[in-house]
Amino acid sequence: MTFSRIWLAALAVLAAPQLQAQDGLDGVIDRAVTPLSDALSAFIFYEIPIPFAGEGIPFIVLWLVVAALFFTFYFGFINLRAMKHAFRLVRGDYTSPDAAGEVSHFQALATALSGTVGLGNIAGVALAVSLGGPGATFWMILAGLLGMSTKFAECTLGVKYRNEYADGTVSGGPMYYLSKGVASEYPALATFGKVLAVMFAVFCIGGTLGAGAMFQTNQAFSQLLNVTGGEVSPLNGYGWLFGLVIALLVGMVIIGGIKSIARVTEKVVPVMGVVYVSAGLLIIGLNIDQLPAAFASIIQGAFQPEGVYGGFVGVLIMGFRRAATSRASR
Amino acid sequence: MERFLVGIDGSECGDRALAGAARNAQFAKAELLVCYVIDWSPFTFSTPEENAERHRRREEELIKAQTKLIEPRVAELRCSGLRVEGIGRHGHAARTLIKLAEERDISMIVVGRAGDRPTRTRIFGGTAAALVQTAPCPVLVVP
Repeated sequence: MTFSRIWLAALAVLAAPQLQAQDGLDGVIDRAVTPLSDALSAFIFYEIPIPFAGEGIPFIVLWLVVAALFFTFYFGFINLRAMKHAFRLVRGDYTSPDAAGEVSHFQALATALSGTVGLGNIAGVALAVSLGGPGATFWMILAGLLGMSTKFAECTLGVKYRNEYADGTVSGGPMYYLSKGVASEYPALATFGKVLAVMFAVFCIGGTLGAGAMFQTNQAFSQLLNVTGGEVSPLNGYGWLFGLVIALLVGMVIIGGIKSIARVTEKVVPVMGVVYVSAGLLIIGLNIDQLPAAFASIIQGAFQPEGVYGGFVGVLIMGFRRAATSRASR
Repeated sequence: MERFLVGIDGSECGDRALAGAARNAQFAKAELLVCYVIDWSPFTFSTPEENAERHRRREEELIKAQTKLIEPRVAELRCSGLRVEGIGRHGHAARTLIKLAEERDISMIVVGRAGDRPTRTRIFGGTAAALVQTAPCPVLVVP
């Protein structure tokens, strides 16, 4: 079984158990889109076969892991060394009194986190554990730790090469540091940097459509179906209608310029984060007697093949999410 | 020369505090520092759009505070022969006034009792109450 198949199957299991019902318009849409998404995932999740092992490593995961390892060693374990500095920064120890009224370090972090907590942390972890057993957790923690170095490099570059406009607004991100940064450090590669920047921007659209719009809408609909009675729900087969309604609502917010709606939801996200963390702690607290056993099975499972494999899936989702939302962190 | 600090908030009550401070300053031959604190906290949550525009917003807020709230009042008091200085700052009202009092060697802080947001004042405790409890100098609260 190839990785992309498992990936798709897992998404289907997680996101829309009802999609097996191939009736009505939903089925037609499903049949029309499946070849396209199959082809796309075959390209993106291209596997590098490992000799003497049953599974291959998708190129994209290898890329993320290698980059994270490189940055971790290159910066001399900045992800661990700078931990204290990071806490002091967020607390405002380095904030100059003249900067009162500007975006604080805390606000920058909160804004970045509000875009990151969600798909990656909840769906990614659940998916990885269901595929790879408890051992996947170990690899996700490791990948998360290493990924901090990648994030460090990204954010530093983002700030270094951001644009400041005459009206006082700023904007930064990969498209800026790829075009401006590459051009100033390696003038011979300036065009290449521009090409990369454009590619990033284009892929961002894809990522937003796929991971943001499609996956989330699909999840929302399957939740609604489950709540209203699953297979026998009167809504079964009306996924297209739900999608249209969501599209209309989102369109109202974006095109109609109903800024207040977006503003409200974005203020709700931090509350979600708090609820998410405290719910997690509560569940751990209620099952505190099973904690040692859980740790034991995480360590045990970590070095079994399926643990490593599930970890890869988690890394993949979290990595994507991290990459796609990193531009919000400036 | 003694120096008094007045906190104004654009409300009627803030103006009563200013009038009270002016009376006292005339009497004590003191200098007056008029401060408007723009409510701001580094620990609120903001959207990416707000972050991008924050720098400009801050300038706008300061200019608005200076031209609409501080300068007209300062000019009026100067006409009556007082030495007055106006200042606009971002931050928590009570904490900012206290910091200013320490920085400028203030001998008395004058504030109104109720601001223009009564519900919030009642829930979180007013600026006046916070100042009375933590200020480094005498506090005059004008009803």
